[in-house]
Amino acid sequence: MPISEYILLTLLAAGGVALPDGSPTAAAPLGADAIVQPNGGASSSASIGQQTPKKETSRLKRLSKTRHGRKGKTAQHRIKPDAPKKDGGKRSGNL
Amino acid sequence: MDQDSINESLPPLFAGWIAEVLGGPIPRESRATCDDCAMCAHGEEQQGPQAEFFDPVIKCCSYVPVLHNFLVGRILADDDPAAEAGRSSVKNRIKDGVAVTPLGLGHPPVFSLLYANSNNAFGRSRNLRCPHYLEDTGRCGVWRHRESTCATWFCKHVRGSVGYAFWRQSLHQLLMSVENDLARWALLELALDDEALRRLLAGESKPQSDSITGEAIDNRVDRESYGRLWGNWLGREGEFFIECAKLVNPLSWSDVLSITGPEVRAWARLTQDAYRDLTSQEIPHTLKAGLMHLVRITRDVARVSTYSAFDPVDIPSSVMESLHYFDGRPAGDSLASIAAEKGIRLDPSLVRKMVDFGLLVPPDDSGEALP
Repeated sequence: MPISEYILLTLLAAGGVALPDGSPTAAAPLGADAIVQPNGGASSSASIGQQTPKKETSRLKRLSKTRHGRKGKTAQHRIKPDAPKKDGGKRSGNL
Repeated sequence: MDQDSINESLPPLFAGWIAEVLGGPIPRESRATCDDCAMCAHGEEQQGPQAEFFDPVIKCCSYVPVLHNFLVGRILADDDPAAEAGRSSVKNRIKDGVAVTPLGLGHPPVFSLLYANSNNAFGRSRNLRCPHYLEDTGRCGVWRHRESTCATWFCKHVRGSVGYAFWRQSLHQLLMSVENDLARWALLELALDDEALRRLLAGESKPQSDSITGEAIDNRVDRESYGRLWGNWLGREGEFFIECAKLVNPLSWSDVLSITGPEVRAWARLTQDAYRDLTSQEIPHTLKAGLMHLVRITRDVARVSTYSAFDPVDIPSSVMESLHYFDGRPAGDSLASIAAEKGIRLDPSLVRKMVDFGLLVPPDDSGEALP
């Protein structure tokens, strides 16, 4: 292969370069920076479901509720101080 | 140490332990920029929907940290003049006595109630602001001794869901387990009397988030209950916390493992697994499009939210229109079809990022509902 053809093919493979005969430029590949993380978040008015933006996960909240259910606690019991809601349920560090 | 330089690192006590667990550095979360909050509106964004942004005088500090006894002691014993404001804020919490027990400083009941039942208040309500937040600098007064939740929470992760899985779903759980176990161990080591121990372990110190007494609403402390919780250490609370810190400070990770229970060992293993994922660039062999919420769309760009409403991503239309090529076949075949039919090439780094943010998932992904 002539060295000039080799260089051309290498450049094309590397992401594109205008061909000497004026034929279309090969497109450069889209890299990771094509996806951008903007400032801010998704507003609650957008269709983002029921996510409550807390530092804790709703999954843990659900688990903590299930724990009460398994124990069959009454409403009276639930007002006692082992009712984990957020912050990782009972392991949340609620002292 | 300057806050900037340890922004993405752990507090010194945790850092030493976790270095032993992981055996390598944790990649920097450079998108979560505390001093130039990425959740606050900048420039033209201030004209946009403000519900998408945090209040710059609150940022993510709308959370009252639970400070376990040994962390309280470390703050009280930190004689750095720069830590004075944070130290004073902790002394104030102790003096108030609200949710103050030998286990540490818990959530005040009013905070728990509001935090658990508020909507879209995180980062926006000044009433939820942390008592250790420094208004003049916008920084944290107890940064060097912050607890597991604050130490592992980032609004945005460089690697999206992979970072979240490491920090929040693994390391956070590990550190919480360690905190809980060591705080209880300290009670035993310092010979808290049996009656106080019984009440603490029975959970009498925990705040309520679904009901609250009038006394608690007014942040008044039932001194009788308070005294029973403190037992033989009543009146020497500050001294107690400092003694807890003296017990925990010299512990190595192997010491921690010998004190704590199997839950800590289990979370340590899972944290190691998550760390391997965080430090790997491997792309699954086969991929399909994942679940996402469309936040907004223009002719050129779609903003979608996947693993977290705090961390949406803007995707070029050309990439969005290529997602359907990922239908469970080998990713290489999908990329070849996209190149042949749409005339665009997706670099492996872009595919990796799409996987990180859940835009592409392995075909066997359960399709679990978005948070």
